[in-house]
Amino acid sequence: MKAASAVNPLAMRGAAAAAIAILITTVLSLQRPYWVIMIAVVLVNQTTGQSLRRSGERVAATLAGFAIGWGLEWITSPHHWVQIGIMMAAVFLAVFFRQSWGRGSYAWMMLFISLYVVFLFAVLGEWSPAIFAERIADTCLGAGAALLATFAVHSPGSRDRLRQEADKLWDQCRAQLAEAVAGFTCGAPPTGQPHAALLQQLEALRSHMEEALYETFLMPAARRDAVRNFAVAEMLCYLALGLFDAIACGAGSSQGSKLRVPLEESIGPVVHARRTDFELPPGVNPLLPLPACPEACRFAAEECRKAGLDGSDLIWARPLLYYAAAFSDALRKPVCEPRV
Amino acid sequence: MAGTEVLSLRDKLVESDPGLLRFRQALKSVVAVALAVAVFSRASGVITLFAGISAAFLMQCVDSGSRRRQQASMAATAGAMMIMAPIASALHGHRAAETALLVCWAAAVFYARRFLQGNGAFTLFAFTEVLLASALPGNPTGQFQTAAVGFVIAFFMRFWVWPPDEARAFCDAVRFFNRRAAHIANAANHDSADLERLHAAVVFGQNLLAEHSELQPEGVYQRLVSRQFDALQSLRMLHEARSRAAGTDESGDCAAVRDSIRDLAVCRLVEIAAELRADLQRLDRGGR
Repeated sequence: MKAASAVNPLAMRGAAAAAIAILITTVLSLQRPYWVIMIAVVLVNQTTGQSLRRSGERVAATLAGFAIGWGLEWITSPHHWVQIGIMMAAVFLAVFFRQSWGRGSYAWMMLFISLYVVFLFAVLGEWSPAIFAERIADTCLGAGAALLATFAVHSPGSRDRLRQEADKLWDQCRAQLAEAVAGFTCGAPPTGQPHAALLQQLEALRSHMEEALYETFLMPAARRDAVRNFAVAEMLCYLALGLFDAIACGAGSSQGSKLRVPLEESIGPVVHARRTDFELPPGVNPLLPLPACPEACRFAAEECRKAGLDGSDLIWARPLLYYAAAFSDALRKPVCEPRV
Repeated sequence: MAGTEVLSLRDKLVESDPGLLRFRQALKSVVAVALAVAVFSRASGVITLFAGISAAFLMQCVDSGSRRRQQASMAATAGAMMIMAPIASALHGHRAAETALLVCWAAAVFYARRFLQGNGAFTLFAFTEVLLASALPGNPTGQFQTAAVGFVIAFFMRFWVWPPDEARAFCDAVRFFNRRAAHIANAANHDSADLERLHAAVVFGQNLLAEHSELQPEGVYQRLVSRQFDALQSLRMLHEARSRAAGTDESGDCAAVRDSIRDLAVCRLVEIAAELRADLQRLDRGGR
């Protein structure tokens, strides 16, 4: 069972959205008030960013679906069975694109639901362009009611979630980094494969960042901040994963102990740093911030030469020291210059 | 040198919809709607409409988890609809009562998520059904009957006719992952969209495991997902290192590091590919 604290605000927002939508339909005396109420309630989400994102997608997909449906209705208007066929095809495609098993698309689903609605009216002989205008207006009103409810009953912001989860990701990364480096320098075999857990967390962060962009579309500074927070978290995660790969590859080598000092000197301050102590300028690929990282590259090459490593040992030793130095560099200053 | 791998239409469909889970769900939903409409074909237009809506909605109303949990959640949703839709229909035209019912029902469908394993978005179908019952001129008996018949049809179609085979879907996703991964690893050049497809395959497997406890999350399925994540990361590194190799903006030391990272990614991939193949063969033999 989920915690009440996670569900109660959502339930209150749902009730608020329904109440606001009913109020709007009463004041405006709409012909189909249930459209506004339905849209208001289904657009209620956990965070402000999610609600904004869904609202935008819903309005755009409804507009596109009704426009396409209007055109198709005009072409097929004398053929009743063709219209029934299109209506059933729209049901098929709406279910096909429904988000399930980790696939699907809300926007595509809404487009086909809109197409279904057009042809439902067409089959009943009630379609008219006025319904198009009415549906679009009601969708906007419903989305407005959902957003009002989102602000009326406090919703966590996607930016806050992004920051909190980025901190959590870095805390896990640095704990694993400390353990992996200590194990490697002692000659212990690498423990586990943290890739799946870290990459899953990164996926969740990406989703929060995308929602945060909807939240901040009128606030350029906040938008830049959200993008930067994600980029730094992404870089830290990728650098850690690269370092884990190098450790996994070099774990069986007898040469590992030769890199103990430079590795510990680079990683030591990193595992005690906070996420906000790191920097990454926009434009740099967080996956492999190489091109203008000459210091980290030079450090890796020099330390390998000093340790007298060559041949197959360089496959893991150079990346190992590069990732460690890139971490260390990102602490003091932006890890790389923007790519030209 | 090779671009994006060319797949047959069927392969493309299976890759985008492993195990044809979504295809069969969509097809069965259409058949369920047709059946429900046929059952009520002699009734009034509104009742026929509700029959189709009930069947279509209930086909989607299942929670994540075991088959039993899915069946229980569909039955509970249908039960709620059978109670609430007739009440809503009886209140049609009574403005204040309708308002109170809808506001409370909106809160209830969100609160119900507390007892669900998945995200519980399907509870919104129950809200919509009750909303339409209150808004359109039907009758309580008809609402009860359409919800009941919709439930019987949806239950039969969802769980008995061509039921979803999640284990097969998982294996399909892993096979396509292996195929694409081998293509990327062996090709000197490839489309970056291939990496997106790989990513989609891994996320699909991961979600399937999260939703279906009967797939033994601690066994070979979980290990396969972890290895796919490892492979995906190595493939991204390989892709990036290869792309960099085409450029000329790097110093000698950076080029050396880049080449070592590329070799490291290949080294990891060889290791992971062998493990993936072994686990997939184990699954094919029915082992866990």
